[in-house]
Amino acid sequence: MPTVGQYSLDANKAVVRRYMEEVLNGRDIDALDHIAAEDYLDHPAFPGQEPGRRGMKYRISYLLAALDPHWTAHDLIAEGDLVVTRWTLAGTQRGEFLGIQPTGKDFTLKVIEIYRVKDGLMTEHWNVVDMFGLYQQLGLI
Amino acid sequence: MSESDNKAVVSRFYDEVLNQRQLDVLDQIAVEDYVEHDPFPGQGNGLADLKARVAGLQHMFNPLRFTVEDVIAEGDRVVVRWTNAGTDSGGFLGAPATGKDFGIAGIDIHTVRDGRLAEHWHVVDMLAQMQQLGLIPQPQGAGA
Repeated sequence: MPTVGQYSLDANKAVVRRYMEEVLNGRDIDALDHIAAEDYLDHPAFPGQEPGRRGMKYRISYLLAALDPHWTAHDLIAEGDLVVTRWTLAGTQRGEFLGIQPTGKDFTLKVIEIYRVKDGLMTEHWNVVDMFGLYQQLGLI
Repeated sequence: MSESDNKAVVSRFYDEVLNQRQLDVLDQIAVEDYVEHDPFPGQGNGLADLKARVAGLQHMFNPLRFTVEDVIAEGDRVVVRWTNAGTDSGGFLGAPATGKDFGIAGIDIHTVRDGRLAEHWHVVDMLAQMQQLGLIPQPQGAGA
């Protein structure tokens, strides 16, 4: 029998899963209005990324245009209001990405993300991205 | 074992093994058939290779200090978001030692079985580290 605590962990995971399926893989950026807080705080913000959900939408549009990625989740781990995802992005670099000119190359990128979820909305984000692996696969090093 | 017991074991890895350089503590807190999903070059599974990995890290970087920023546990998994600060004293993966300082971020995921570290994944910002050591050029306008 799931406890109230487990119920809330599962609900928080469901928000992050919906983010992956609908927003990221489903390319429905406006679905963020239902699952992200307006004052969403992104710790690893891209250069030029505005604060809040508005900046998050910009970030995702930029990622989709530059890398055309498909996300695959390998693990979801939750405690309290935090949800960790270990996932990979498989894509092709079609546009400029953080100073890297388009290479047209395929890649699989490893990322671990941590999201804070409150009252059904994503509110905060940290991550570490295997940029070294990306550089290697794009032939930059 | 409870999630808080698992967190306590993982915290010994950062405090005693990594920061206090007590490699032999691994004999008490890691399983013999340890599984590494993100190996260093040449690293296989098992406790002996885990010890060699940590010894290698400590040879390359002295001092090297890990700061645990966040710990998240569910079931048998414990996630640690950390930052570190160190000096390239022994040479990065065979490169000549630069003597330069670096500070990067990483996230580890450990699986704990019967009170011991059993399995590990991570993502570490090695690109930033190599850029800080001057081993590869800083790209213009970059930064993930």
